[in-house]
Amino acid sequence: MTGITTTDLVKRFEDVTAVGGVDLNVKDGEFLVLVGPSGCGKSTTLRLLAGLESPTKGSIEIADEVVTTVSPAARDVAMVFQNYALYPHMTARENMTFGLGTATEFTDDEVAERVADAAEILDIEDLLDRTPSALSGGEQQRVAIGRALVRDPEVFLMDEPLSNLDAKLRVQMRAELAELHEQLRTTTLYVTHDQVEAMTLGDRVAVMYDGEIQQVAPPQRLYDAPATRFVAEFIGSPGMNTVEGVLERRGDSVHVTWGENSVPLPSPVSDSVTSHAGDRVVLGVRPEDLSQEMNGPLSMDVTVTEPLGDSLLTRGTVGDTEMEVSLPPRSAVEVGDVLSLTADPERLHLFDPEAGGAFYHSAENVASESTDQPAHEAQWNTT
Amino acid sequence: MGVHENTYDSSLGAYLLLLPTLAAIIAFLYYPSLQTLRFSFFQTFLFGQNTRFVGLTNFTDLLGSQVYLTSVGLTMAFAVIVVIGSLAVGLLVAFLLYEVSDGKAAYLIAAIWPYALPTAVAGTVLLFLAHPSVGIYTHYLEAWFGIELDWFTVGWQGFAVVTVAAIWKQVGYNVIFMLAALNNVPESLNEACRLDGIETWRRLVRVYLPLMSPTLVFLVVINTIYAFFGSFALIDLMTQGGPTNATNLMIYQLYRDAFQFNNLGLASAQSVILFVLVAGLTFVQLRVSDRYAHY
Amino acid sequence: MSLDTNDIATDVRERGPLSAIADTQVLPAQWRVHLGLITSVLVMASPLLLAFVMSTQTVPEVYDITDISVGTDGLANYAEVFTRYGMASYMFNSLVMSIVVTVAKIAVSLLAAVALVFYDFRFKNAIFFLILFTLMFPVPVRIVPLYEMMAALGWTNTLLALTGPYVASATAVFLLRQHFMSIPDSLVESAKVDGVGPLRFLWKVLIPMSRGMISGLSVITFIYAWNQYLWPLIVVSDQSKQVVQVGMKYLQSVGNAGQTDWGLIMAGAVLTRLPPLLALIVFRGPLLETFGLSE
Repeated sequence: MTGITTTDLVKRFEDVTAVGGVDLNVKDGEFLVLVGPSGCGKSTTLRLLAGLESPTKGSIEIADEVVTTVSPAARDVAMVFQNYALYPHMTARENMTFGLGTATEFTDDEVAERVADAAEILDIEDLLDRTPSALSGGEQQRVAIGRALVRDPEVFLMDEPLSNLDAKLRVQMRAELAELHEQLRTTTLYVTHDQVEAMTLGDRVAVMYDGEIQQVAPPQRLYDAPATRFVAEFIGSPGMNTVEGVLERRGDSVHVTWGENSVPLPSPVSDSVTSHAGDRVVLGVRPEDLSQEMNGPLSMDVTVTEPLGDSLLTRGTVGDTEMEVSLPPRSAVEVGDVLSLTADPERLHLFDPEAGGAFYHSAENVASESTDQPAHEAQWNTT
Repeated sequence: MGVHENTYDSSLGAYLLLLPTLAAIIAFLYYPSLQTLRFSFFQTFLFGQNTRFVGLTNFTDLLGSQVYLTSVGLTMAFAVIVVIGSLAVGLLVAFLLYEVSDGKAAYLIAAIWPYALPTAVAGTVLLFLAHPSVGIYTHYLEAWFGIELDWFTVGWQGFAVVTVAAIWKQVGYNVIFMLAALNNVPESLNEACRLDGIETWRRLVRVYLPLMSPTLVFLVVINTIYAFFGSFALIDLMTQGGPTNATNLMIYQLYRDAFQFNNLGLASAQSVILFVLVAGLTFVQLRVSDRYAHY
Repeated sequence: MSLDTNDIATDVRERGPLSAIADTQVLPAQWRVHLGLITSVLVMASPLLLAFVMSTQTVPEVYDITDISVGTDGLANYAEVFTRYGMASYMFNSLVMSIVVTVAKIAVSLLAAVALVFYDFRFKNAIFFLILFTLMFPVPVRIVPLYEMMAALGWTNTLLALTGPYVASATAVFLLRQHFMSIPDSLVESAKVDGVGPLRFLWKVLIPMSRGMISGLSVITFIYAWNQYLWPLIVVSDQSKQVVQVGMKYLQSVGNAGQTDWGLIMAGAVLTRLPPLLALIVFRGPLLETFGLSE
């Protein structure tokens, strides 16, 4: 087992808490992406794992060994940096072998063989004798990954490795990284602020916000059943619409109402939800789950239209709340129009307005009652 | 202070790396400096064979000595003229170098090659070229301007020649630093000045000088230290303090008392006075610059 | 660099800024700037050029003051000053002293800078301050006890006495520290994750990455050591162990039949000037880079 486990990991700088009690478990051979906005503590978490920072509290296990106080060099991790961190005066080959020089367990032949293997995998055999200044950004990043490969570490730690590349190259390298991981199956923790990168690369994705892990789940589940309001708004492009309303019971059905607008939840609704009738809730619905319908329950005053090519993203106010709706391309909508909308009843979400936790996903109305979800995904804060 | 400082953990390692430097500064800098202070309270007899504690006597003797007080005054005047002169000439040359557009590289080489001129060479060469009887400069000064230079016997002339030599030796150094400061002036400011049609002179005084002020402060300090300590070779090679003590700078008086008259206590007291004077001046210069320099 | 000239400023007022900028393309050059530069370059360089010319003259030619043509003596003065007047040994001694000081100072300062940048330890700031504060103690401030110390150790007339006091350097430590701090964090962290030890890191990463800074510092240190005068004058009394700057003083007494042989002395001055000039020319790239002057 070469997984990573952190237990109640805390890092404070002066009086700022960068990481506030993180329990994370990266499984053996897994590619886990840690995603979040800048300043959320994701890079600090990675640096704690690498040993570049020492935790204020908590413990870190790598490959079933507690390494909380072990020096970075002894943790058998390899790190790939955002700006590649290549030594400008060394050739690609020297850069790749420099870190090995201190590990005496390799003979020269073994080192040469490892470099050859890594170079072949990364397709940089012709570049090995060049210095970084003679390499393009993409090539430099390959060398940086090659340097991690030759060390054959227990885990890879990657700190936004693609964010210095241009958009096209980034997409290409993303695919190559996925392929590489498919081939090597080395446990990898990958930090990024780009949710598209997170969704496409990760076996699972951990969303971090304000020093805390919000949710750890496979990409599709993250999208379909966000555990918190933050995850709902952060994942997806654009993110989920969230609107504050009141949970109302009308005979057998349950509605979320704000102003003139009212969205019915599909029946039957479980008791745990109906018991909160009359409370304030946050309704979440993705732009692509809203559509135009004559006499629909929602009416939107259009303020902006953004033709994206494959869809027409339309923004406006529903009641007093800003919302976005993704309409078919070439829809005849103009600023100032009033649209009549309906929401896909299978794709509604409810969040606690105070704590932000999700307590209802209409797609799994029944399932949400079951125990297969972590406790924090369904917390309800009675206020 | 940065992420770097946590790279290596061992305090012992750090102290080992610092050991050579620390050993050298303690042995060759701090210990002798403290010893200087101690020596200054002693009087030396019999060519350094015997010493006796005399308290502040060395200092009171010096402050009561007309020769020494004259030397202090001379040194102050020398320092002021050398600092202002070498900065002014340096600024002029640096500004011309900055302004010129054709042949810039060639001018740069031509202007900075006197940098790193050994003081002893400067002194020897000018001693000859301005020699009262065989010097070519002396000859043409008299032939063209009717100025008769007899600086081996006329005090103020000796002082003037040494001062010119000191300025000449230091200009190359100042040019390099001033040019570096000028090159740091953002190009957008130059363009703004051009569009506004600001005169060259006003541009230098109102735009460049304020922007160069940190470098100027640094150069004032360095040039002051040079004037006080670095001019020894000039005096020793050109005038030996003469004529009639007109170039007897404090550093030369100190050398004579220590190594010609073996008056080690008195010389040490002079070292202390020099230190206090230069440290005080540096402090004042930095304090004043805090108020006026634009960092 | 800027295209505008003294002339533009005047033109500007008559014709407006935009026409002035257009005119710079066809201006008959910046004659005032060129004139100023040529004058100042000539004034600064003339003593050294004259010294060179005189160094090729015979004694009668030297005493014919207005004769400033290249003399008939050729390089005979140089040969003589080398073989008969000890110039060869002075220059050799200076060379040894300067190289030892340069290598030792850079090596020792590199170690100290590594400790100050990549380690965290107690009294770090205090030690850094202690190193910087040595700037306030030039040789004259501690000259008497320093000499006494060398005498007590029996180091007078040795290389140890000539070089020891110059090994520790506030400037070198300060500049190297600044340079190390500018190395990107990720490179340092990468080395840390790889477990690269401090000396290997210094040798394989820091030194190669600081080549420009180290060569610049080396040239400055070499020139500084080569130009030292006062300390060698005091601590070396054996003429065969003396350095070239003080050698200039010995040369002054050279003469034939009561006439000082200025041609010989100028040859000595030119020779003394040569090594720092060569260092300046050969290493002008890194030197200008260290001063922030490179294009």
